Amino acid sequence: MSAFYEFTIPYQELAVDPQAAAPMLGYDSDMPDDILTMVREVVDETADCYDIRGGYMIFDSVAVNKDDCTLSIGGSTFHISKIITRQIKRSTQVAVFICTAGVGIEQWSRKMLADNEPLKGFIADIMGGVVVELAIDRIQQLLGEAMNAAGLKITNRYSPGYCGWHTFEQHHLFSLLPTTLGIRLTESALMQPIKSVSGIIGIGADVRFNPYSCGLCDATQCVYRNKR
Amino acid sequence: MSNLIEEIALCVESGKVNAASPYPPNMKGQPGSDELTKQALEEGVSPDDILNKSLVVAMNKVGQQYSENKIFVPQMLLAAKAMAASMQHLKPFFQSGEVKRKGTFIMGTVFGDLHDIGKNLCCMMIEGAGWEVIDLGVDVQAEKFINELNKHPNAVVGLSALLTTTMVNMGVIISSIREKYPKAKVAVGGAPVNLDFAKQINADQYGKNPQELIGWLDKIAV
Repeated sequence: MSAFYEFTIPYQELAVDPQAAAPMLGYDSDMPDDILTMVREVVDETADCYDIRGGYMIFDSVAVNKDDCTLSIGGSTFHISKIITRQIKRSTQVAVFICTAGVGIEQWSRKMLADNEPLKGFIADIMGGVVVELAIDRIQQLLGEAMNAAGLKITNRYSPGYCGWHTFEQHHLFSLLPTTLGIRLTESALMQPIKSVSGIIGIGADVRFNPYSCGLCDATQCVYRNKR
Repeated sequence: MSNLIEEIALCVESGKVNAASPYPPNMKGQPGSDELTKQALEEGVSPDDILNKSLVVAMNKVGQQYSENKIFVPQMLLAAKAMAASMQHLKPFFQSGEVKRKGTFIMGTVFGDLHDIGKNLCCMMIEGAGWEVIDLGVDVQAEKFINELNKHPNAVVGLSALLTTTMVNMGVIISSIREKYPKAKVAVGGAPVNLDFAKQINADQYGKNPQELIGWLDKIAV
């Protein structure tokens, strides 16, 4: 078991692209100019709302049971579904990660909704999600580089609530970490601030990263499903 | 007077809130739904006509265009914002009872779930369709819906969930509601919900989008 590697990521370093909001706003391609202008305004206005922090901890003793689709790390056993089991079965280590965009963006979004600015509120909500995903992309990239240096590769990241892994097991996942960076879990295992992510990444000499992971999942109507 | 009714409808449909709002660019500097509603009331247009001949008609058009993919979420939200600006002027008439709405819709995100953006947008559209909306917020237990039904026994209930792990709580809430109000109408919606699931949990309606839900509400309100 490694130490907890913690990162604070300046918002400016994430190079947030306003066009990233397009799919969630219903556009198949780029947004029209007038709407893009509004998204840019929200992106600019919310730049100071973020407090982006994340980190990971690596567990060396890993047991993946392909029969009952479980993963055992740090004394906890997770029921990770067939889909995730298939992707991480060759892992010799597993990184447990968490990351949050902070509570500010959520508060800003709610304020806009309350002030009869539904579009601004909606855009802020979308961009909060974009930002936390960019942040964890960055942390995953750093993990990948560190592992590459040791001759190892990493898998995609998998989170409770997706690919058939029950959200409730997020409680066990959080209990493995020495800090949760201020992220709290509700009784039903949802994270607060809402714009937070957690999960696992497989590590090993014989694992692979799948560039299109949504294709693995059977939730074809998922709101977050990426189109190829 | 009829011009004002049409102009307000056009402002709502176009998302034109007030003279200061820059959207849509082709109406820059012109008065929006805010000023025109105020003017209409001052000139004696009935608030009922403003609601039913302007706002409801415009929002219905917007919802229809959205469900046909002719407009997208931003245009719908801008229309909802313009509608809300008009609605502010009508509030006193709702309170006095001078303007009657089609019915009451009690909406909430089910317990265990904190996601509310979709629910909020849906509430705006339903309000724009002429319904009184009582938004109970997120993480709502069955008791809270029942308490609200006690105050509004003829209300329709709407349940929202964003996660496969929380949508199952819709069934729990529907069972609890039906124990006390066997004839209560309940609609469900949210990203992971579908028609089969809605039937499975004995919901009366699955709202794929706000417009579908409004269409159903208007049918049962008759």
